[in-house]
Amino acid sequence: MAQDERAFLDHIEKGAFRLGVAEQKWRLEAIGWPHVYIGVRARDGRWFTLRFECTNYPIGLPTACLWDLERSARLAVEHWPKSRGGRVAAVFNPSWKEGTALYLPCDREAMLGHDAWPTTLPELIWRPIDGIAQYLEIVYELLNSYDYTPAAVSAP
Amino acid sequence: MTREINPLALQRNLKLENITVFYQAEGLNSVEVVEVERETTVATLRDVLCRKHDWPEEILLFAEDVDDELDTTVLVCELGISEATKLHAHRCRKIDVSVSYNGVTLPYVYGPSATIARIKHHAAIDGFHLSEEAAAEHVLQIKGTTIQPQPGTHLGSLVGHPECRIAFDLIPKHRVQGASESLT
Repeated sequence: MAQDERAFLDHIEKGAFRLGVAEQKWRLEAIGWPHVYIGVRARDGRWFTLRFECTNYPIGLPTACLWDLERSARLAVEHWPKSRGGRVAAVFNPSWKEGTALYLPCDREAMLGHDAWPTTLPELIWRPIDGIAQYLEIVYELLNSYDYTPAAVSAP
Repeated sequence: MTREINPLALQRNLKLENITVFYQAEGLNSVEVVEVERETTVATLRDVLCRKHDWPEEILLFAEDVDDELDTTVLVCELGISEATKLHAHRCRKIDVSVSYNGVTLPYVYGPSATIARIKHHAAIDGFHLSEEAAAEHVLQIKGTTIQPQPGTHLGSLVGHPECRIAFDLIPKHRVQGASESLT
């Protein structure tokens, strides 16, 4: 087993990840290294699957996109979480990089070219010691914020 | 090759003979987890944790968001905590908290197992009279730092003994924004 996969498996045995599972904030759905599929529960009870690409975890930042497990494809735009115009829309933006990543400072793809983020958004910068639970906490908070509104079509 | 994961596989508390205890503590910056037999008393659990972390004897255990320390004769399985058993270990019985917003500072006193979510709710809604919606768009930040503890963080994990005090600012959550060219 590769070192990055072993590090990931160690992290999901830690208290922060296991507590999130126990509280039904997120659930591990599948692993096909370097991809990991984790569902995150939204305020209305819907589960959104994120497909993480975790090469070089946890030193390397992961990158994640919304995923449809049944179709084995990125989640169709009509199923994406919607926003009242606040923080959710900025992160779940299907027109940014064609929906291949979330627009978050803890995401590898989003971090590219944003040298100011460690100064302007330090709380959202990837922390290898916290690992995947940090990314999930950020997404869970957004999907449970007042700005989140259900997708036009229910998530599959 | 993708392998399916049973979502319940990580919830070890389904094993009838054991109970999973999640805990935070003075000096720990992460959520820890331990499994104990259902008939374990709070006193025995405290001894187990003291040996594991080399803590002093005066450590007290608290249930999450309950300000009084736990009765050490109670069984862990009788704590009556629904989703997950979440405890806190600390030497401070009470912690002095101040929250500042728009130039006004309000004082509070909590047990060390108080969550950041509970403190923010008290300060933002009861103290500074923000609406539920407005409060949700604000966050507590440790005064003089950029540290914004997660809602589930226990107060005591941010505070040492014998100081037993901390100050927060209530500030708006940041919206993720970057260079305009990066948004295309």
